[in-house]
Amino acid sequence: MNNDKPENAVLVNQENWIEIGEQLSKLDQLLTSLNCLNDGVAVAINNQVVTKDKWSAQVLNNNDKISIFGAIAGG
Amino acid sequence: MSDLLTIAGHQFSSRLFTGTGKFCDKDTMMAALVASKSQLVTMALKRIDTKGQSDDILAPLLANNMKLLPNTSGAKTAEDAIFAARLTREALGTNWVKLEIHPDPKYLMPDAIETLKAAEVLCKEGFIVLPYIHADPVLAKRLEQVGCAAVMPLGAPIGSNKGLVSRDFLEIIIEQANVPVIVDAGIGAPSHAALAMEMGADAVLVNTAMAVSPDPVAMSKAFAMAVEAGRNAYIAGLGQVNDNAIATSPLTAFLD
Repeated sequence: MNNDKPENAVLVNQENWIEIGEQLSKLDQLLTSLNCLNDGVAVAINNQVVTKDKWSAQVLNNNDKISIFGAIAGG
Repeated sequence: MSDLLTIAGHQFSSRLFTGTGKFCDKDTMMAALVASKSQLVTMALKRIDTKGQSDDILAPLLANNMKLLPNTSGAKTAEDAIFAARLTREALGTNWVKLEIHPDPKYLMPDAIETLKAAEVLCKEGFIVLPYIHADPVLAKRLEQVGCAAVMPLGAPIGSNKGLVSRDFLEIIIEQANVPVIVDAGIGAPSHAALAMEMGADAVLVNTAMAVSPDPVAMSKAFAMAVEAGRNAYIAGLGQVNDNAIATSPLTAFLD
């Protein structure tokens, strides 16, 4: 873990606690703040895939584990 | 002559599929893939480093009209692979998936039991599943029966460049299959690819041999030619193998 957990926060990609609140309460806001609102990205919350059409409505909850995946080269 | 390969209703004029891994940089990768004339390329998925810049390889692949075949690399169980497939569908907007489950990091041997389990679930969910498997004819049939669109038996361990070590079993798979057979992994030289095609494989998937060559573009071209030559030879029909010599020139009367 790279930082201590704030009181109200989500864990991003198993390494960073990010504080959530009024300004940052939805998944699409989190992705925008992380510069991840791109093509080729998939997101899971607590190991459940959240489809793109639900990103703007998806509420972030304290202790959610957010996994953000992107396409890379591979065989 | 039109000799198209059809997988799940999608037609390919090139029977050389390629991976995108291990190239020294993005530009070399793209130049090599274009030289290979490949129309289906594999990709992987990884947790994004939210602090670093990622190298976008998706845009140039799509700009070159390449169909994406995301893999489930990193999956050690059926459950992992199903999760990975759902993620790749979401990330890349395709329901095609190269199902690969290899828990053992030394030889990267595909886990037959987990692969069959995952294939069954993913086929039911509407995925076009192309499973990476050992050259196991029984497993290939079982995967066909649960709805896989093709099978991808290995020639040799991934990245080993050893060629068709599994040749005799590949022949059985090819003989028995009702879905396309794509020989994947271990193909280290154009001659290996040509041999697979001469044997009647429907396609081959090559990555390491191109990517690690000192000249990936030239090597990709060589693979494209080899796959085409092997396919043409298969269609033409190879001559019978004989134990004795059978003269090519007339042996009559010249020295009598």
